[in-house]
Amino acid sequence: MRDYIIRRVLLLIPNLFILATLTFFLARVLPGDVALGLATVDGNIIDQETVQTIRERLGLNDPMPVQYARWMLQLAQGDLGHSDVSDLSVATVVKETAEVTFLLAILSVFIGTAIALPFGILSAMMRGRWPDQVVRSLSAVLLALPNFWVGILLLLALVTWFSWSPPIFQETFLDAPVEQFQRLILPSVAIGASFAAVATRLTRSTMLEVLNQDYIRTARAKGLFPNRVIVRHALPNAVLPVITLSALLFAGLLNGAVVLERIFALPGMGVEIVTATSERDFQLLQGLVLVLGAFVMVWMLLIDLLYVALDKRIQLD
Amino acid sequence: MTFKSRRFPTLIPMLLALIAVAIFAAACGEEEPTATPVPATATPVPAPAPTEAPAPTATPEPAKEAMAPASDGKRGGSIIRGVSVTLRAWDYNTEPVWFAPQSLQRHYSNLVRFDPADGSTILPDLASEWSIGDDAKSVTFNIRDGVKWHDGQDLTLEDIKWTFERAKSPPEGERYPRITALLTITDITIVDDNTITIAYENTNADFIQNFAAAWGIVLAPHVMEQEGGMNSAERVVGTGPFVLEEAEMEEFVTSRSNPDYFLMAPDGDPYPYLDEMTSVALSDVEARIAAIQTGRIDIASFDPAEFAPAVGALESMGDAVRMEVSPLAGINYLSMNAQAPPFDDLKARRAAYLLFDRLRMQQLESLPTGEFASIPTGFFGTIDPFVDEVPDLWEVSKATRDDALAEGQALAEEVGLEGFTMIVNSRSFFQELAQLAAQVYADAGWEITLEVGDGPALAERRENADYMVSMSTPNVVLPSVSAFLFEQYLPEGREVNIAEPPDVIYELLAELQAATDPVTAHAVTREIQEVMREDWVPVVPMGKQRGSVELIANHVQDRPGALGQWFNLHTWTDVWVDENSPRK
Repeated sequence: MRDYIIRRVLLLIPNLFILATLTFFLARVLPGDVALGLATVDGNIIDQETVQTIRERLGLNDPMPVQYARWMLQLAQGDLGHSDVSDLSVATVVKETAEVTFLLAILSVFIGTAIALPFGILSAMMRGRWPDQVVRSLSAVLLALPNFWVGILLLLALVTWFSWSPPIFQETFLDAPVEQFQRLILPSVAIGASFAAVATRLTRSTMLEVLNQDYIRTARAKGLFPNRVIVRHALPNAVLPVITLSALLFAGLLNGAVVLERIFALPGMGVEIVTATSERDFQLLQGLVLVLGAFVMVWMLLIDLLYVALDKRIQLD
Repeated sequence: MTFKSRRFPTLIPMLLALIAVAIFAAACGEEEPTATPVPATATPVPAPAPTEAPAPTATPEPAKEAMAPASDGKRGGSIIRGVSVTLRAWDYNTEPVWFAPQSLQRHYSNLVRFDPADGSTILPDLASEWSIGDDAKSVTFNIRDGVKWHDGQDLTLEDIKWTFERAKSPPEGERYPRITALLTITDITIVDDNTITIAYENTNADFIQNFAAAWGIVLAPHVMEQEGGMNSAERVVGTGPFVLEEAEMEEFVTSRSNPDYFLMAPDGDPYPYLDEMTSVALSDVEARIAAIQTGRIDIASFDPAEFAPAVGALESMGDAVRMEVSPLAGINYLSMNAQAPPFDDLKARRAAYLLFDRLRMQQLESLPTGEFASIPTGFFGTIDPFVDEVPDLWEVSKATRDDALAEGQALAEEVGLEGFTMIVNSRSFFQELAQLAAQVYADAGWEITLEVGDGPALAERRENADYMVSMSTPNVVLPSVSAFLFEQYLPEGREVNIAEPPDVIYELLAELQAATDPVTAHAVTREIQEVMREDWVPVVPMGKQRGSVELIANHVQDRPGALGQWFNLHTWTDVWVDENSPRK
């Protein structure tokens, strides 16, 4: 196990190198640069001198290999870079946006899973009966609805019926946990609902498969209580694919739920990445992608370890 | 054997119920105070369209001492204003975007300022009086005594000199895009303890407007020259009515009243009436509407493209709010690349100009209610003193439109033009506008192809002159025709790749800049427009949105329609809140 973890951690280095290289060159496929964005008023370039001054200051006139070498050298020194637009360091931007992104991801996955597991199990247990039909129909409907639209509807419904809308000021979870929770709950429900639609169906199908296994039949034959059969014997095996799906969703959400972040004015990493792309703020874009890449890789390692903990048959090596 | 569970289904609803109760208890708990619905004090009717043009030039006469207050306000309380964006730089002189001043401007003063009521009349600010030199190549300001910076230091004439020296000769690597006219300053002289004279290169009676514009603020050198420069909220130090209390970039700006502000209210104490004011960024229009509906904000500010949802929100909110429409100073136009065929030919440009039906465009842009959301304009947009006359122009008027169309089609046939490709910004507002313009041309028989890209991508194509037509929607900082012509259409201006003007334009511009009386200025402006229509055609004017919109809770008093886009220095001095405010 220890060797496996060390090997995976060491593999992070070449993976991140490839990611950094890809991000650097792919970003530069985009037409235009940050100088054009900074030196533009109402769509018009202020003057060529301004553009050239900015390019010179940011080193954008240097040949691409020189810029790449500079970026790699910077990384080797542990410096993720600075935003060319706001002049904030990437580390500062990550610090300011990571909390929202992580909490949104955690809450969304929690809500989605909390809906999916019981309803998926219920649907499997009641296969073919009306609860199963209702759950399957609802999940189909939720699957068809875009989550940002669900978010807007939830917002409008709460405003109309309860005269309530989320707090407008961003505070950290430690400073104001209730306010932060109130800000995050609607987008989390919107994301969680669409995730639940998929996860419910997955839970149902894996549960049905498990319930038909010989060891379940044996457990029932031994006279165990039905709930004990489900909770102790069927669920641990049925839940593995759902965990995989949740883990993938979580990794996806780390990259940001851009539309919902915008609708609910959440300063998350997704909005930062989109803004950095549209402003051609390459330094910030590269830094954020690299940080997120590292998060996702570590997260996937943790998920692999969780598999081992949940299912002793799985051998990491 | 059939397995049937009897107990399991009863556990699931219990579990779900617990989760639901926990979530909603947390979501609805410790709710912030919400606004009590307030009876209407004003009929929520949109303000009239900005059809009245400002006076074209500043008159070189001593100024009035102080602006007249809208009414005697009551002190205390605070307001929260929801905007689409707040700020992305502490030194907003470096930021050309329209929203740069809207959350920071209230912390600063100018030498003079525009009257928020009309956006063009010059009023005193730090300068209590001023006079324009006989040759209209200098302005002399008399500065008030006893003005203090927010950190308690006295304002000196050296500070003012430093500010405009910086604008005249920016430090290496810096640019102040919205005050480039100040690069033409030639000399700044401190005459005596209260008097400073600023001289500039060209004869220009309107030059004083640069000192009134939103970006023409006076800065504190003792703060700006600290190591790191203007790099944090703590360094936003001005002499304005509000002192910056707390701010987060791109999120919010909270300011408290400045007890040492130099302008006195009718009650004998300094403005402003409000104790505190906050601007908060709510980028999504629905979020802003929800926030004002639930009393989390007092004013919701909407961009011109958000006109329709704002009107819809007003209808749904009934008497709790009123609506103010702020006129936009500017123009939407199609810019033709004259560096390459076909638009290097005046006939092609004039064909494009004549085929575009501005009244049809206005009709297409109208709201679902039928209300017009835009104004047809000439080359100078809404600052044109003759903007009211545009619908009566030969090429615009319904009575003569067929003749104009026929002439345009004949010219198009002569140059073999049947349409063009237009580059468009990918933001939905621009795309929608471009689609409507394409429809107008389609009605006239031309085929328009749209090529969509984001800001830097389009800027690169414009830089390389790699396009036929692009669409611009400039907002205007200064309300003078001469400044607009100079800053936008002439080769020194911002619009790239447009046709060279005929020489007569330069002669007329010189006449216009020297004109100190409105009658002469109007006559020259008419002549310039005539030449532009017949012999130059730098762009195809489309019109301009009727304005930006604010939904204002009825407990907020004396807030006229005036947004960042109008660039008119509304510093929130005389706004006040009544006893119905949840924040009083």
